[in-house]
Amino acid sequence: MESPLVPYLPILAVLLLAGLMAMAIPALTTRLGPRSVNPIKSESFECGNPTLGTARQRFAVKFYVVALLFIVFDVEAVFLYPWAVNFRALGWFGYGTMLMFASTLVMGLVYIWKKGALEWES
Amino acid sequence: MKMKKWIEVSLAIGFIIGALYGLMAAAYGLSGLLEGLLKDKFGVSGGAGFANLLVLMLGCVMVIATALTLAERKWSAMMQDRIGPNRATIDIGPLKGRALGGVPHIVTDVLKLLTKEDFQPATASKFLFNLGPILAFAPVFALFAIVPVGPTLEVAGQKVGLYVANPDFGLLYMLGIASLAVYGTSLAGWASNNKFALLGGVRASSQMISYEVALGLSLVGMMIAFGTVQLAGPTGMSEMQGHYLWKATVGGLDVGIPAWGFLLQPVGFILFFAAAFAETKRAPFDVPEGESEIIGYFVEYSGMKFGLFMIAEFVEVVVLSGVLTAIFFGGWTLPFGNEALASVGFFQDHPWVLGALFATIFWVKVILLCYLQLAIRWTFPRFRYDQIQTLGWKILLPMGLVNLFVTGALILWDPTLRSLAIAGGLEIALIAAVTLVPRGGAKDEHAEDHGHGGHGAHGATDAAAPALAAHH
Amino acid sequence: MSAELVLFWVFAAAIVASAGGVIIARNAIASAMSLVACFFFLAGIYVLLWAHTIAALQVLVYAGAIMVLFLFVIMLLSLTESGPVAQLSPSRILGAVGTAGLLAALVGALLRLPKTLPTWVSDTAQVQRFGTIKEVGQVMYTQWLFPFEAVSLLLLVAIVGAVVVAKPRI
Repeated sequence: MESPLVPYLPILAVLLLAGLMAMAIPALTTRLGPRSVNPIKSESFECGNPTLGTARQRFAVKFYVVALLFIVFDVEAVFLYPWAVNFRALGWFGYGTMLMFASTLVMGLVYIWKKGALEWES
Repeated sequence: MKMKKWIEVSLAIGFIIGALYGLMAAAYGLSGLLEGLLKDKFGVSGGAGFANLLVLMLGCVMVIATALTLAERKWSAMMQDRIGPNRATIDIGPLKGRALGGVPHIVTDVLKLLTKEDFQPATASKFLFNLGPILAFAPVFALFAIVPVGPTLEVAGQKVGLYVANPDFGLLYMLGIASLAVYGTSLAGWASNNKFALLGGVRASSQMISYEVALGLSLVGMMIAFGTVQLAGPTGMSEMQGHYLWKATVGGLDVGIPAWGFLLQPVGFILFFAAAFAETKRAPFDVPEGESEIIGYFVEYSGMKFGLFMIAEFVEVVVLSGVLTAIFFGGWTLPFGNEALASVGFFQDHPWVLGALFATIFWVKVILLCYLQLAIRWTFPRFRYDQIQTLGWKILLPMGLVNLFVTGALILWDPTLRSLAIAGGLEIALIAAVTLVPRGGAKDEHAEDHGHGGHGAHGATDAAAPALAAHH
Repeated sequence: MSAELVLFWVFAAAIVASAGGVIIARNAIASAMSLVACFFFLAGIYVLLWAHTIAALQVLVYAGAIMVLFLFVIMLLSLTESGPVAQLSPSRILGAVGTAGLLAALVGALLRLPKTLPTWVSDTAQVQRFGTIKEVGQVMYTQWLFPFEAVSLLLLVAIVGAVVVAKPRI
């Protein structure tokens, strides 16, 4: 019996090729391009002004909240895919269970909406 | 003069279609050969996948993406009433002094990027700085693997289809690999140790993850319609769309309404298109790279490292077109006459002739969708960042959920998908009515969803904020 | 040695190397990227175990979502390149004991694994079905329905928690 993993070999090849290409193309520039380093040029670019301080600064907590919400709804979406494949077999019962699952999360969405975690204007 | 131009354009289009047809015929031949070779020598199937990896991904996707760099410049020039790239010429014989539609610019662009200095700021984190462009390009390139380009047929005694891989988890591969592209932008932004780059990187990655939710959610409707997450194969979405919902035969030609995803899931299509467009970070979703303000997360990159970010964007445009074609526009099938074509005797004797024709149809659809994306890119003014987040979380996500459960109810009520198609037709009519009917009254009322056409870039800031507040 | 075994060792070595990188890297972001690589190779192991769907979900959720949050948190805290120097503290000792306990539990579980393959691996039809997204769904939405519904509550708690943690700032 042929291994059930054979259909996945091309995927491995694709990922390898993608990685190799992404590494080889910039390596070409490193070979072909000129190189001249001086201290002024090596500063980070701030539109011509002298560089002030470091860029290793904290940024708004909103981005972090967005990332956390993203995880929650991504996990929700992940639960939808196996359900979608079995959708017809599960019938109205499956529809109801997923409606319950999703409405719990919609409650969460309404909560963050009301709390203003999705507001970016201020 | 006008006549000459028409002839030239038709010749160019004919050449492109002919080249695609030849390439697809070669793809079938090579797949059949390699599949047979691997089976004989090693007893392993899957050779067709490797052949397609070369022809489809390196030969088609990369070449179309490269051509798009020129197309984008020409198209933007046309939109802005400029001439566009015409300086690079090949000075031999009769070609001397002719711009050739700007084609030599592709070569000069590549040469220029390759021979630039490979610069990195002294304060950058070296390893992560180099990792950024790799992680921006590699996942995007790998995405096309699951998209089926042509039908599965018998070539050289082997059953081959024009797709690289058809894993059981199909679209999950696409969503999973696409989610890795976030690291490219955020690493590029952080590792450069540049405030502008950091701001751009954080904006870009935050935008990408916000739209990834809607991206996955908008496809679930199509998944439940066909009960699969696979694109290729006899039960995959692409082939299932070739079946007719209503069918009639007129003089030997089969006509009817096919089960194209666009008809079944118009809302899903719009959500997916908007979300995927935001993932490409092109205008109107291009706040991570405003030339006039924060420059972009790749500000410190030069040469081909910058080039990778750029080419990744164009590859993403092609891949998105391919995925849209496979999921929503019937893959390689025509809206009518598929069965009539398949029953022609000559095609039954030489199935690859018809297969290459279908694959060419697929690529024509892809090129048309690329064109649509370029048009959108150069038509709409950009969103503000808060509008982008609002669109992602407050509009696309709830709409995706509602669409999902409405679709589910319709499918359970009528498993033949016909009710779903009728509902889809009504939705399309509604959307068309809302979009096409001219609106009276205050101009700045509709500031969010339709690109606030009346404002111009600077007027939007003041006018849109109260409109947004009023809307919610 | 079969091709699967070769791939297993390649993936296993890569997992160990990248997991080591998580600990060794001085830069917290490099650590996080090493962990992403580790999850990616782990997905390869899942495929070798015929758990294809889990492999895809591993990449989608762990490598593509949870690690993004890690990255954001590290960026948010703006940790410098040279992190804190290791010192012996009660929490570290507790952590070491916990890790040793986890290792012992895992080794114990490994030793109790049956030495022979289950009989169904010779049944082609069953092998074709195993680990597919359809099969996973059938089990999850019938047999394990209650845990599935409970997950929604867990996610709801996560949403509320995120807002509570960040509340003064938003």
